[in-house]
Formats: sequence, C-alpha cells, structure tokens
Amino acid sequence: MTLGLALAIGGAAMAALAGVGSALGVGVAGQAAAGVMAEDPSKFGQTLVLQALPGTQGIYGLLIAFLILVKTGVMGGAPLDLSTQQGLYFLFAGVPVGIVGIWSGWAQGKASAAGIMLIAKRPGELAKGIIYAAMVETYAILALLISFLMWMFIPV
Amino acid sequence: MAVVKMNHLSIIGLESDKTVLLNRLMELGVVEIVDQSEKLQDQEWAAVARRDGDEDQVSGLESELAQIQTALDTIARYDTAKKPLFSTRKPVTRKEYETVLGDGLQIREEVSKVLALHDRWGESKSEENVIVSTQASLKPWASYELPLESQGTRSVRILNGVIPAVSDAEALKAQVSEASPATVVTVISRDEEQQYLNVFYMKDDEDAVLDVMKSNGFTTAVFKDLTGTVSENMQRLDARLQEVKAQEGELEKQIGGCAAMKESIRYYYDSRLLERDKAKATSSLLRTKKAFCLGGWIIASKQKAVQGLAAEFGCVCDVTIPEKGEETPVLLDNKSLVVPFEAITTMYAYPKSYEVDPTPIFAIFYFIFYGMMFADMGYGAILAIACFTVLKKFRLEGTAYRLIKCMGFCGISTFIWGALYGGFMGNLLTVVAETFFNVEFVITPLWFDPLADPMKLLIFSCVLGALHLFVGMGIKAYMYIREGKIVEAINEVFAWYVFLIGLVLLLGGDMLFDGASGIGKWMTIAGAVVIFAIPLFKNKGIGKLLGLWDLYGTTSYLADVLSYSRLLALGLASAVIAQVFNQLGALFGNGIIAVILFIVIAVIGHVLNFAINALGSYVHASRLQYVEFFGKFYEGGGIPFKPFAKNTKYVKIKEEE
Repeated sequence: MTLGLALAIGGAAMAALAGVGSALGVGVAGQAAAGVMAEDPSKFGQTLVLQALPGTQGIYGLLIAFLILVKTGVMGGAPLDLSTQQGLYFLFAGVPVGIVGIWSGWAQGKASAAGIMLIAKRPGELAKGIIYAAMVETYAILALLISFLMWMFIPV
Repeated sequence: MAVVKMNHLSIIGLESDKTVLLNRLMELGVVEIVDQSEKLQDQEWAAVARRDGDEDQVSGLESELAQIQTALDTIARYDTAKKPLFSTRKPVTRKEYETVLGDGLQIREEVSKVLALHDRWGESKSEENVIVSTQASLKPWASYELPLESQGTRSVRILNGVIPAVSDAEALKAQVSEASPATVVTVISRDEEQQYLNVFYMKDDEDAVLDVMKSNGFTTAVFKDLTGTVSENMQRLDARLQEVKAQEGELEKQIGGCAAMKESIRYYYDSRLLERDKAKATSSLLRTKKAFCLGGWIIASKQKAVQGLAAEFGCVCDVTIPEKGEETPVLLDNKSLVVPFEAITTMYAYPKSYEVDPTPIFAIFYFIFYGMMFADMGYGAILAIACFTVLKKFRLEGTAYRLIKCMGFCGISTFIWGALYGGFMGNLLTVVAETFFNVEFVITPLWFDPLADPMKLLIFSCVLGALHLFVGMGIKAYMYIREGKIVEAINEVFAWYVFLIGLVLLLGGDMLFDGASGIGKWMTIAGAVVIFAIPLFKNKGIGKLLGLWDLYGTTSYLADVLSYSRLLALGLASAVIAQVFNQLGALFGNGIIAVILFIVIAVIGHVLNFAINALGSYVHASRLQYVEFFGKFYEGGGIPFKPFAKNTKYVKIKEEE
C-alpha cells in the first residue's frame, strides 16, 4: 500500500460525498411531499417522482467512486502501487462530482419541493415541475462528465 | 399540415329543431361551441335575441352528478373486486347502453340507497369519534371514584381540574392549606402535559381557594352531561363502541353488496354527464322566440358534414375562414407513428394556431436521445414489452395512451442503442459467464463501447446536438419566409448557419480535410458581416449596433451544444451503474449461496437503475426539446380545441351503422 493508493481511495470517498446533496435534496422534497399527501393522498405517485429526482447526484457519486476503486484495483483485491502523483490525480477526479453533487442535490431538492407544491395546486403541471428540477441536474451531469473524463485519462 | 385548420361556424335554425340538431352535432364531435353572449352587446342583436339555456337545469344536473360520483366512490371503497391498473372507457353499443339504462328510475333508486347507507355510515363514524375522544378525556380520571355529576354537599364543594405538568403540586397543596386549612387537594393522575387534581373545599372559603388555584394555572375540567362514576362511564362507552363498530361493519358490507350495481350506475353517470354537456352548450347559444343561433369553430375538413346536417334541418349555415393572424383553437393531426410524441409537445404547450407543430420534426430526435441516454438491450426490451403489453390489455385513450406508446417506442430505441454500445443489463452476461462458468464472454457492440472511447461519443453527441439546433433554427427561417420576412430569415438563421459552420471549420476543420480552416475563415467572416450589417440598415438609432450584441450570442450556441454532452454522460451512467451492481453481486464468488446473493443484488440493483434511468432519460430527452430546441423557434400557448362531443367518463358509446 502506497500513499498514492490512499489518496486515490480519498478520491473515491470525495466522489461518494455527492450523496450528501442527494440526501438533503430528497429530504427537503420528501417533507414537501408529505405535506401535500396530508391534503390529497391520491398524489403519492406524482410526488414520489419529484422526490426521486434529487437522488441522482448520489448515484453519480457512487458511479465515480466505483470507477476509481476498480481502476486502482482496490475492488478486485489487487491494489496497484500508485505514485503519490497518480493518487492526487484520482483525488482530484473525485472532486467535481462530489462538490457539485452536494450543492446541486440540495438545490434540486428545493426546486423539486417547489414542484411538489405546484402539483398540489395544479395537478396537470407535473411535467413542468419535473423540468424545473431537471434544469438544476444539468450541472451535476456536467460535473459527472468532467470527473469521468479525468478518471478516463489518468495513466496507471 | 400538422395544426388542423379551423373555420368560423354559425348556424341559425328553428327552436323546435334545436335539441335534435345538438344531439347530431354531439355525435359528429367536430364543432367547438363558443359562447355567443358577446353579440348581445350589439343593439341590433339585443333587440331580437337573448341568451338561451337554463342555469338551474345545469346546476341541478351538476349536483346530481356529484351525488352519483359519491355513490360510486363509496362503492369503490368497499368493493372487493380487483381494480384495474388503468381506468379505461368500456366500449358499448348504443343498444346495450340503452338497455342497461332503461328509464333510469331503478338506477336512481339504487344511487339513493347507496347514498343513504353512506350517510348512516358517516353518522356511525362520527359517533365513534365522539366515543373515542370522550374515552380519551376520561382516562386520566380512571381512579376517581365519585360520580362525575356530584358537585358536593351543602357546605362542601367538589372541584375537578388540571394544572400544567410543570407546576409543583406539593407547593400548591401547601399554599392552599395555608389559605384554607380545611381544603383537600388530591392528585388523581398525571401525564406529560397535565396533572389531574381533585379538590374538596368549604364553600365559605371558595374565593380564597380559587385564588390560590388560579394563580397556579388551574383550569376546571368539564364532564359534559356525564353521570355516574368514571368506571361506569368507561364500561358504557366500551359497550357502545362495540355496537357502533358492528353497525359500521354491517353498513360497509351492505355497501359492498351494491357493487353489482356499479356498472349500471356508471352508465347512468355518463347519461347525466351528456345531458349536462348539452344543457351547458345550450347556454352558449342565443335565441329568439322561434329561432336559435349557434356559433363556434369547425374543423375545416369536416365542414361538409355539418353543412349537410344544417341543410337537412333547413338551417342557415355560414362557414367563414378566419382572418389572417386570427388565433383559432388548436387540434394536432399527425401520422400515427408521430402521434405518441404529441404527449411531449402538449406537456410543454400547444402550438399557436399560426405556428408549425414541432412534433413530427422532433419525434425522431426524441427517439434517438432517449435511446442514447438509456442505451441497454435488456432495459429497452423490458420497457418496450411492458408498454406494448399495457396498450394491448387496456384500451387507453388521450394523453395516457400517447405517453405509454411514446415510452414503448423509446424502449425500442433503448434496445437499438444498447445493441450499438453492446450493453445488456450493463455487463450482466460477461459477469455471469466469468463468475459462474469461468468463460470469457463479451457482447460485441455493433458500433463501439463508449466506455472505451468516450471522446468519440462526446463529439458525436455534440454534432447531433448541433444538428438538432440547426433544425430548430430552420423552422424559424421557414416561419419567417412564410410571413414574407426574408431579411429576418437571413439575419437570424442563414447568416448564423454560415457563421457557425465556418467557426467549426476554422477551429477544427483541418482534422477533416486540408484547407478546411481557410474556407472556415471566410465563411465566419462572411456570416459575421451579414449578422452585423443587416441591423445597420434596418434599425434606427442605437439599434443599428444590435448586430454586435447578436454576435456575442455565439456563447449561447456553445452552451446549447455542450448541453448535449448529457447524451454521453447519462448513457454512461446507466451502463456503469448496472455494471456496479453486477460486480457487487459477483463479489461473493461461486456456489449456491453466492448465486442466490447475486440474483438478489442483481434484481434489486437493476430495478433501481431501471427506474431512475427510465425517468432520467425521459426528463432529459424532454429538456433537450423544451430548452434547447424549442428555445430556437417555438412560442406555444395555443388553446386546445374542445369539441362538443360525447365526453363520457366510463363508457364509450359506439353508434351502430
């Protein structure tokens, strides 16, 4: 085990932090959904869809974390001897999806909560509520893409 | 033409023919009746005509509909029959419909019966609530043994009440006995919020005692009309509760027993609904003593039928083409392959009547984008099979039909892209072959594996995006040219085509062929000059420099194109997450337990991945249409065509030939 490998695992941990954003986001949206349900139980399905939207950041984080663990050989039981520099590469590759995930997940949760309020008053406008929340997700996707490209082109 | 042409329609006929004519119009279902009361502001019209219709009849029918709906809901609550996944209209012939309906009296009685049961059930339920809350309020007093109505003797008064949980009962006792030594305070019980006190005091000391008690936050407890001891009351209430519950159960069973009638009640509901719609339509008409006047919109291609109908009744029928630029109600008419994608358009907004319906143009892009983002043979097959099975089993109509069919098509696209990328539930087959059979097995992608060369797919995504945007701009140019605004079309679309293509060639053209950057340079310059120059001639004042500002808009094209990188990112996400679950499942090695664990993890993981990515692909494929594509040309906000037709809820009446 080298310091480089430890740093690379740190990169995976960093990426997995995107889950913080999803947890906050899904939580905020869930509170709003429960409030709407109290008034109109028939909206469970619709509110659930909106609540699920901020959940993707955590999955993107999981994806990058998993990719780092595979490429460094931690998963599969044959860890590589990475140099410190390589380890730092992986650490930085985890940063975009992790950091952007935290805030975009949270912000998307708030947009979703607002969308849930929207369908409470106008049940036909589910699609628009979804699109508003999805606008936020764009940035999580861009961060995922950058993290992925970094991961892709790190030499090991 | 994907937006259907509409014409103005007005019919004047004899009052005596009105009902039959309305019935026939309803069967045709090609006319939207528009309220004509505006005409009455004209003196000439006001002199001879007045508003038709009977508001009382409409509201009477409406309250009847509400009652029938309550009856149906009540039955549905206790109906033990399995409820279908989707509610669809049942097709019946006119003859069946009328046989079931009869004169309606019997069904009406059945509805009243259900409603009466419903009312009695409601009474029972509210009695149950009263009992339960009384029991809850008596519970803390369980150990109080005197009758609740007892107020005391001639000189002693008994008082029950509560003080807050935080008050110190011992201190209170001390204070009270100081003020009046003959007073006895007992704490009956306590809970998290309150302490329940019983107080005996001499009536002579009343003021002194009450002063002390009040200063400690004491409030008197009231036992409304309850007599006897607490335990007697509890027993009585328990017994009554049993009775009430039994009664509720009995009523629920009786309501459930009416389930056999629900079918005919539904028919009845629809018959009332049609009556209501006719009554409502009537109030949009104008009438004189002997004649009526109907006005509205008619689908241009169907006007022959209505004109024929009018002639049959000897009515005056006038069809006029709307003035240029006048907005008409919007009805979309597309080829059956495209129709499902109308669900995506209408979720954004109906096009204005003078706009182009974008559905047939973006349908192919939507199909491609969805598939690229989901991109898996297994998931695609599941999605397509699930959607088409639902369509086969249920006679869906309207938006639900379109959306499910759209998803079915998207499933096919997902399958195709899965084959192109070589993905089947991620890399399920590879992992299974390797873990359990020690065999190397890889699905060869028909095109390439994006995990191996993501840059290639990134560029492809952006090129596809640019194409999508150019098509959007092309529609804008088409609309300008149709209105005769050639200069605008050149300025806002064609010059941009030249400029943007030139820019791409200038920056990266040499990778394609030699000398491309040279051509690109001149195209860029030519485009920029046109974009800059046209406002110089066209606008006045500071507006002359608008071209410069427009050129700055190049950055927004860059942002738009990069937005299509999600086609790559989400495609990778669905593939890699599937692989994560496959790999997690394979961690346990080989063996029976390992196989079971693998299956459990794979099922849970793939269900989760399927749900999230099916939704995500739908959302983001829509977003690319709404934000990037529609942003280039689409206005939207047309008012959908609402024909006067048989808009029933439960049955679909087929007319016999």
